Amino acid sequence: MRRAAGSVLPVLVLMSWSAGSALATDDYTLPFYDPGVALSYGVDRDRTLSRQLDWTGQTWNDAVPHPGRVYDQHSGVDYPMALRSEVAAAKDGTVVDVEGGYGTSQFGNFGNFVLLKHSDGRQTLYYHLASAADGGIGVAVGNAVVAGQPIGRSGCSGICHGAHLHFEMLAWSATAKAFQSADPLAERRWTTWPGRIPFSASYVRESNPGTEVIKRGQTISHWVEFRNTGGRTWRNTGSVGRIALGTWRPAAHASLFRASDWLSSWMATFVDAASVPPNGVGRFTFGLRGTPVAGSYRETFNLVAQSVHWFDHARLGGFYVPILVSNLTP
Amino acid sequence: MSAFLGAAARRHPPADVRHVGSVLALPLILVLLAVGVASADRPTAALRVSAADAARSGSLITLMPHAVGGATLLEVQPATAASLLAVSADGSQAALADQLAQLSGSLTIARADGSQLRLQLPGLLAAGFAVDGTWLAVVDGRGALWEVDAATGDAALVADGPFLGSPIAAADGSLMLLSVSSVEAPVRSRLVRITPSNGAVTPLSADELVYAGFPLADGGLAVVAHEPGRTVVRRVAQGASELLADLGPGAVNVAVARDGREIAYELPGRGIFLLDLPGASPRSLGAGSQPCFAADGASILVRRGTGTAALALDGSVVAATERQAGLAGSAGCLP
Repeated sequence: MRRAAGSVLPVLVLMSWSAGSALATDDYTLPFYDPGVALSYGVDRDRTLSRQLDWTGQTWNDAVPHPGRVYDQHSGVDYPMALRSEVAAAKDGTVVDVEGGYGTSQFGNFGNFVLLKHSDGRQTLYYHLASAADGGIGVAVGNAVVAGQPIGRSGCSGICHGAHLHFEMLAWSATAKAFQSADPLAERRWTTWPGRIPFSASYVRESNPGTEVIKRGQTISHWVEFRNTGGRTWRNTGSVGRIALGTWRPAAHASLFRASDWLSSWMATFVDAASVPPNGVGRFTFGLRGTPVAGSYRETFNLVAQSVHWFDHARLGGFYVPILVSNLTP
Repeated sequence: MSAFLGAAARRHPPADVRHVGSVLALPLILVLLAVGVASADRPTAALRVSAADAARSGSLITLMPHAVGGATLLEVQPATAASLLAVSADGSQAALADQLAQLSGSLTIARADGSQLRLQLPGLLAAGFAVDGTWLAVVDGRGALWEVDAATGDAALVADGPFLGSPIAAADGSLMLLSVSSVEAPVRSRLVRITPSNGAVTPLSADELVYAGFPLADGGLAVVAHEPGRTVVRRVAQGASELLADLGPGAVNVAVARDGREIAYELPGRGIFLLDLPGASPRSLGAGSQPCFAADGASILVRRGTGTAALALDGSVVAATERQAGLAGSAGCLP
């Protein structure tokens, strides 16, 4: 079974594809990796007490929480997740500030956070993180980060009941001369709508979906295509974050089938195209070289944002290449 | 002045408006589970409970005073799930919340004679008594500031906020607390003074992320502020700011003695540390969290497990209880 993904996934991909194509306006991704995480509360765009305006434009003249929408005076977007779940930068940026001194679940007025600034002048805030001692803070002030890079782990520090990430987007207000809470949902700031995790892909097709038969010492060319179902554009340039195809199970193992065009013992190739936007299809072309010893093999691959994060291999359909190395020589 | 400061005092109701608001909430995750969330147009009238009635219903709260050096430690008996928010200066009253930062909160003002006053507010975060104990300032779950009459329980909304921190009342009735960008994620926090009579808000320091402020005996203020990558303590007086200590990264829940010469703080997982100024190295006072100084500076109250301990400055235990306790005469000081 080369493609383990069920039939539901393509449907979901198509649904999000059409919606995303119509609404994408910027380059922010969801700040975590688990696609199962759902929004619990968004921003209250009306800062008057007891009046709430959610990201859909609906107004409530009350202070009752509206799950999935908003609660009174809420300045960010809440995403419930298990303690110590990885939190990702929503966009390329620089670390402005961090706090990691509070206990992972220490209740109090203040909590742990990471604050990033971005090239569009905005800032993003990741609050309630685990303590630094507990791995909650993965970056330091002044660090450059790329979208999708792990920056910390979730917690429940501060005024918090139940582990979750409070994600906040801050925009500079010239009149207030201060950064103020903005609503990434209402402003359609996500790359895709209603937002996607940074790195995700689904299998599309490959040059030979069956078994590759290779003579000992022979090199053949193989390609595979994946659809970018994440929120981050795939690129093959830059110092970090390039999308590559690497060996898997275990991750980054030295391959027996490494051909001369491979980038390293475990990294077969970068994505062929310079840029593959969300919903686009990226091809990965690489060589496979027959081993000195004949036999039946398989090589498992996964996508990786170089030096940033591996993709969810299951969502790639558990991709691998069956290989039969024959006794014949080239 | 930042916009979030300006917003703090938008609304100050007339003095005769005694019941404002509704049963509101700071609904964090578990609030989703609340069933039949009620929204009342007005808070219900405060409920007066005599000591006898409280005893009969099993809800009697006894305030047990203990002398700790020159200070009075007020112990709350019996052990209760309610959170101690404030102790009056004379030790005759304590304010407790049945729950913090939730959909709604019940504020109980417990008195030394055993009687109680209970009222419902839109969640509760903090409280602080006026110097004479006749009223208390309460920060609700959304960060709005209320003035509550300690005798009648009448509540008036002073300002929308949002605010954080235990309000510290001055003799002139003004309040010192933190004006924040957000209750849930306060990445900006200014130390301000609020005059409840007219709602005026005055910044007290230029620091952008203040964790706490402490009045000093000489009339100045000690300001605990976070700067990128570190926590600092400054002395602010007459418009000038002087760095007292750079505690580096990770120092939290910092407290400053009234004489400005001792700083206690918490390093999570490592306990409480005491820094004698000027120039000394910090020394460990052992396990605990959330330190605060007695008014005379001779002892430090800390939370240990579910209880409270009073420590001498050498770390020895002066008093300890498995229950909650607060120091009379040390406004804003609760472990």
